[in-house]
Amino acid sequence: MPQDTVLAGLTEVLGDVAGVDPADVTPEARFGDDLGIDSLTLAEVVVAAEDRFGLVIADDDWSRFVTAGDVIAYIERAGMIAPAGPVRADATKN
Amino acid sequence: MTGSGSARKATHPGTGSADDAVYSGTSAFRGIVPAENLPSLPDPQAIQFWMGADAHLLHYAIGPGGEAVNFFAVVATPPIWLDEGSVAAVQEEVPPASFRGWHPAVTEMIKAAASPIRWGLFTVRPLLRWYRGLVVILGDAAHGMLPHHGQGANTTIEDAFALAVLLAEAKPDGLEPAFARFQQMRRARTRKIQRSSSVTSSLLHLPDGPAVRARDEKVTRVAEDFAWIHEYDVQQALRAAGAAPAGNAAQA
Repeated sequence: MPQDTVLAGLTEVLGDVAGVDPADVTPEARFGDDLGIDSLTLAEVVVAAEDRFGLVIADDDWSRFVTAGDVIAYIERAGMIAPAGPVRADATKN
Repeated sequence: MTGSGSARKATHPGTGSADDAVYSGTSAFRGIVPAENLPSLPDPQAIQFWMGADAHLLHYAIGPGGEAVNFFAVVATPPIWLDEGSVAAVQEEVPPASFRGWHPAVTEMIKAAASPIRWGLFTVRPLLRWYRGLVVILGDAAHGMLPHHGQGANTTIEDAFALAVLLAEAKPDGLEPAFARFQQMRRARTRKIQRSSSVTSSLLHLPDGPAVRARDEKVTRVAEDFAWIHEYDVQQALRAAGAAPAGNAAQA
């Protein structure tokens, strides 16, 4: 999936979950300092992004996310394989 | 059909196995000791954590008059869990070497109730879906977590309450949409607690250093920091999701 498509999806998720202004969401935007998202809200963003993109992001991975670009790169690496059933977190690990 | 069970015995639609249970690298010893046998314990009635490098111990009073102390001691061993089940016989020295040199209250407690078994502490890998067809999972099967927030049973009860209300509102041919609403309502909250429990596990086992000072300062704000866990109201969450617990359920 192209980066701008993932960015658009993530922007929607951030707006729905955390009320983030779409204009503020860039790959360089930092969750804490730029978007005002704390670790608890980030967990909600991650779950919503998982639903949106059809993948599971392992806890050890998303806890290292600093910028929106980190999420975008992760989703791009994982590919866009929609699951038919339960998906294990390590299915998305490299 | 609903599936729950322990993290080690989790039932998952489509897998039906425990492959998603992940050993945390920590295991626990439990015991109950009469308070009168713990002369070094400053306050047997207290709920108290003792924290140190690679180990911690939680204790609290039980019994009608609080005459016994129940403890839960966690150590960062073994590095790999080899047993089939989540409970294993202890071959090594008891009390574990992890507590050697700790406050006498801790060593008294462990020696007084040397447990011949240890419990492996497991989590369940996050799942994208909690249902398939007529099968839905909840509790440990969906979000098995480390016990350090004391929320394993609580979140399961919340799950069960939410699922019951949503199923009561569902039409006979509308179970899957009800399962979807259930998952939508519960997955983020339980994921947050699951993650926070794992982070807490690490914080409880820090070695001496600057991180300990930061952790100890954070401990003074436990009530405020974890209000999001303890002040949650599943009925309010259901109403926010457009469901309406009614009748006796509203009194639960």
